[in-house]
Amino acid sequence: MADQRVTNCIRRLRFENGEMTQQELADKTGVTRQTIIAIEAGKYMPSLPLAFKLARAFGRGVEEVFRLDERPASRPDLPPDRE
Amino acid sequence: MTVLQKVAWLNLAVLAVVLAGFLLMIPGRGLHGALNLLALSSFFFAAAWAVLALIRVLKSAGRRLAGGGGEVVWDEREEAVYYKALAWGFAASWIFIVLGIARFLTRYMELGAEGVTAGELAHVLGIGFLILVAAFSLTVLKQEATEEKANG
Repeated sequence: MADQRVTNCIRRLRFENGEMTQQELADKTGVTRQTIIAIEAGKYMPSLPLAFKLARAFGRGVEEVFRLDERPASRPDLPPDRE
Repeated sequence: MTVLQKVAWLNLAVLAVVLAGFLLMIPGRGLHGALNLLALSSFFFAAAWAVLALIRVLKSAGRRLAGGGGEVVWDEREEAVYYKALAWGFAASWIFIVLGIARFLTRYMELGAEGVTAGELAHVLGIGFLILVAAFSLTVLKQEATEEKANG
């Protein structure tokens, strides 16, 4: 069975968008700064509406911001391209 | 600090005061008298919680009616943390209450109706509520701390 994990590139996109702060992104999407911190760290999975709001804040599509990583549960230490 | 963290710290501070009061009252009033006051304090605690929640709801409703956006203090992640903490709180308090009731049952079987008093039932419910508040607050602080640690 594959171990599924959603990763995101919000941190990189913030810096590419004029070094947007976490608070600015939080204000744009209507959440707290702690939520942005948790999402960036991969500790919280946003709802679909919030994922769309985050993507729109960067002028991107959801799949450009979030990505589903699938790897076999037996080798979670390997990156996807080495499996 | 999030709104839930503030509530959790406030709860733990009040719990610490209640427990300190309980321990100080044991020498003067005995364990039974101190437990009565502990159970009574939990009902005041519950009432204060309800009043605070009502004030918060009224304040946010007033802000919305005034049309002001203001700072976002509550969102879907806070809600997720809240429900998870509430689940742990209820689980812990229910375990305590079920164990307390099981003890009442064994005493009823051994001693009959005189073995179980209404006062003891109030103790179990009161302490059960305090356990709910403690487990809720500790879960909130643990979850928030985990996320802050992950952020470095």
